[in-house]
Amino acid sequence: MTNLYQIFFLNLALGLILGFVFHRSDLCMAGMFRDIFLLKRTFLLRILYLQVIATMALFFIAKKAGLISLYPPPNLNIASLGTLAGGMIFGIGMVLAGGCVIGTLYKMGSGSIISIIAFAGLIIGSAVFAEFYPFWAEFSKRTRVSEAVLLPQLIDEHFLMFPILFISSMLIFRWMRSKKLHQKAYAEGYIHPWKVVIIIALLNLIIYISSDMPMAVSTGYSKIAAYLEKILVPDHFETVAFFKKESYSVLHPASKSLIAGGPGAKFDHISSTEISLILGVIFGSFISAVSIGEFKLTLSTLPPPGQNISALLGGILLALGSRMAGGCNVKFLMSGLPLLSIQAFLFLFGMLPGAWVGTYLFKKFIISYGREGSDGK
Amino acid sequence: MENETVINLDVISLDIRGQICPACLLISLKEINKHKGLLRNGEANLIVRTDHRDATRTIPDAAVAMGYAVSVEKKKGYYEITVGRKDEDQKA
Repeated sequence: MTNLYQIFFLNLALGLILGFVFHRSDLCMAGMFRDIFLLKRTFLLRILYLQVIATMALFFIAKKAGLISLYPPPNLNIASLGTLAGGMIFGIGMVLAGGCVIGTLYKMGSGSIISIIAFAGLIIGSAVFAEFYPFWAEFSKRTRVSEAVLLPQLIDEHFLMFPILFISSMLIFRWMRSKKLHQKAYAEGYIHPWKVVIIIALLNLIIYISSDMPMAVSTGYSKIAAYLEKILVPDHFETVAFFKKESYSVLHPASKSLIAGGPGAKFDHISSTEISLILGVIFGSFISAVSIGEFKLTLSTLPPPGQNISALLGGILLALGSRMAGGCNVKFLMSGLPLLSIQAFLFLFGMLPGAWVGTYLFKKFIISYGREGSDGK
Repeated sequence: MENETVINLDVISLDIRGQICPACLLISLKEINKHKGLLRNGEANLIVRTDHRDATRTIPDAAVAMGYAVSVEKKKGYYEITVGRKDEDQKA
């Protein structure tokens, strides 16, 4: 599809589904990584693994069937140390914010004040990054780790894909038999995470085929920041190089039309793929919450100041981290890992210690919880 | 608003509505540890009120791992998680 409006409304519809299932399953990627350090639990990590493998299989089959026209997709790039550093900042931010770039959206849609504050942080962080973008772009350019975007450009694709898919399927099959992909849940209308990640993998495939690149969301936040600056500080807005750049600009091989998008304040390919998802997830989650009487927007249960400050800082760090890395957990973990993107691996390596630091900071400064908490017996 | 702890005869109630994880979990664990004597003896139950769906997974998970019995009940717009002593023959 090359019509931006068609893509916009398709992604909006897919976003509604995403928001709904995210809210029902509370499939929180911040929780996924935080629980490793906080609870020593890896249940959600197995769910993520299932998602990566399912997506990998779907993308691989679609590519073999000739359904994918742009490979590597233009929204994945060459990895640099900037990706690693960004991943680390992102990891800290997601724990402090209580959600990643998409977790913040679905929690906000269900009426969480904390996530509305984190969302504001994400917009502020995007605007802050725009100010030091030229410096960071230079740093990233100088610290490139490889000229390849995806591992299959370096090593034969079949040599990589077949063993990974085979061994992983056996592993997942074993988890299924020992019920390790299942856990007890009490929330009303709960949808089990393993079902949700299969749904997301399918939606991601539809997005990749229809809009020529897999799911991503965080440049959408920069766009919102750009529109706000254009309205509020138009003179300054004109001087910001970041809002003038294109993130990608490629000629579509079949239709010969130009696919271009960037963080600027204009309707382009990023608007039709990412702004649509942002809106869809918020409203999808809103619909889910209202339908089971769990929409909760009220000032009467405003959390303590420490948590609000943490959410704001967390949101700012999420935006800084994702712009420094050139993407967020959605682009890298849900879309990049299944394509064996080098950027995605570096982002993950940064995000893990980042989540550890975030958990440490939260326990130290927001809710003091130390050794006395390790009462196990 | 601070987290108010109200101690009745045998119910310790903790209202953390409006808060999300990891705050929900950490506050609840602190509360469990603060009153562990009463909870372990079966002299009191801790009732946590939360409107964060993820907390209905993380709090029971952690409390069960610590050896408590946990039940969750949906109220109007929020959940009540009850943490108490696990009876010998009762499976959590």
